[in-house]
Amino acid sequence: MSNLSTRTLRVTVPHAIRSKLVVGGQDARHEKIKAVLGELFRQERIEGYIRPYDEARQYAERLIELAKKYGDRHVGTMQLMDYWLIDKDLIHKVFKVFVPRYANTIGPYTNSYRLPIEYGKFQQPFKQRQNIVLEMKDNPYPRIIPDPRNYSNILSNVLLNEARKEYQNEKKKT
Amino acid sequence: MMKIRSCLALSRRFQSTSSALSRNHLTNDEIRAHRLRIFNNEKQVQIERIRRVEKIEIDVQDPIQSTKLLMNKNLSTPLHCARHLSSVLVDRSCLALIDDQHIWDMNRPLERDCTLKFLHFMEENCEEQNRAYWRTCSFIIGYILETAFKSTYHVELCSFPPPHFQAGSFAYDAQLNIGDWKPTRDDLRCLSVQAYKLRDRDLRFERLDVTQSVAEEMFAYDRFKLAQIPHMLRLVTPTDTQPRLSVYRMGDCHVDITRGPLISSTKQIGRFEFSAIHSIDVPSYNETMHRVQALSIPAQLHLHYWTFDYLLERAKKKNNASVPTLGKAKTAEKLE
Repeated sequence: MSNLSTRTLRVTVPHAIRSKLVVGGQDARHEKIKAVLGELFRQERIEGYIRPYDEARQYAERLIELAKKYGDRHVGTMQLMDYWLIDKDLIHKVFKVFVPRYANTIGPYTNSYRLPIEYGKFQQPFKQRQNIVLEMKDNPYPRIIPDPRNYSNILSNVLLNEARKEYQNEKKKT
Repeated sequence: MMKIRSCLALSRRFQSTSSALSRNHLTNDEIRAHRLRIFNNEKQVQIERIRRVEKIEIDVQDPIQSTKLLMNKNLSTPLHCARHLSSVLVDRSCLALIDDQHIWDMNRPLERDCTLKFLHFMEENCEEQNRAYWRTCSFIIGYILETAFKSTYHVELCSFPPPHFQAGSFAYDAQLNIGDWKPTRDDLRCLSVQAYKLRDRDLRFERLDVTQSVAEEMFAYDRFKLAQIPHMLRLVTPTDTQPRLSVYRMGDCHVDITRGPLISSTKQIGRFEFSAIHSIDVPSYNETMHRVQALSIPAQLHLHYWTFDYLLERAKKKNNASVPTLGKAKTAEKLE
């Protein structure tokens, strides 16, 4: 398994000490990450607490990179997929849907956006949770951050453009 | 609220040449009332012509929700359709688009089954809305000129040039009969305040297509308008028997001839400032008239006061848009 190499991971890895995700040692941590991975690959856009989701994002990126590089005939890749994805139909989805979708792109295949922190939701008043949205790129849902609108034809901009042209013409003359 | 200090000096100097009162010795207010009366009568006549209320189906297409509405033919306007849907559409839409082709006023009755879209000032292509807005503002200058001066002064409106953004301002050409009056900054500000009062009154713009005889009766005391009427007549629909002229009324205050669509109501005016008054030579009428210029932005668009003042400085320069001409062609280019 150590000779399965990919390019550098193109997501941000925070410098902070990786915190404990869940009680129960490595097995429980793996279960948590497997759950997040399963949800992400199935629904393509999920929201949750930043700590497990950020770590699961790194696993998701690595799995897709491996799938792209080695294909589904490779033993090592298939073993990894088998371990990390609980629902086996998601393995098919990775190879049949995600690999062709991201065949021509490099770089992160997931986006994460921070959601606003909602204070006062839990019983302990000082506890706040930073939630994020994890989504696969080019998913069928409408975009989270909408395309920038074109306001160049509204009246104030039209008038300002005319004024700017006149100013530049004056400057050219003098 | 005319500049009181100058009127005494002027009346002594220009008594012989200026027409301080109109030829028929009527004040501006009386002439305005006469026009409004004729408009009301004609509107009444046209409404009574509708014998039976027929229904038409309007397909309103909005990016958020599309609905089909059943409205009255020749009675319901796009504003009524918007009222059925939401108050946001009522407040911000200035024009309507029929069948993706024809620009329609918000207060003009719909005539047949069609698809309807509401247009506002912040879209990708808002050229039509911008032109309609400046056309409306020119119309409003006409009203302010008629009502702002004391009744001893008779203002004769001529026409306004089509909206031209390169000039940096919109204008109205009128014979002010004032002589060499140079407006001070305070005078212009007083005139601008009249426009803000109109915005608070939320007046609607209604359109009426009238025949030549009615138009000549309406503008019987306006010599410039009478001269323009024969050039402005067009067949409104292919089935119409007589060529008509489109006349717009603002609230219950002012009536004027203009061809193009105007915006929905005066509430949509944002900032409105008069910038300058220049004198122009009009060879068609053989007179020297005044061109009153102003600058305005709709309320939906936000502009910092510094930027607006910068544009206002630019608007003070003489607007070189077309001078009123009585063209021989059917489509008169001087009025829109």
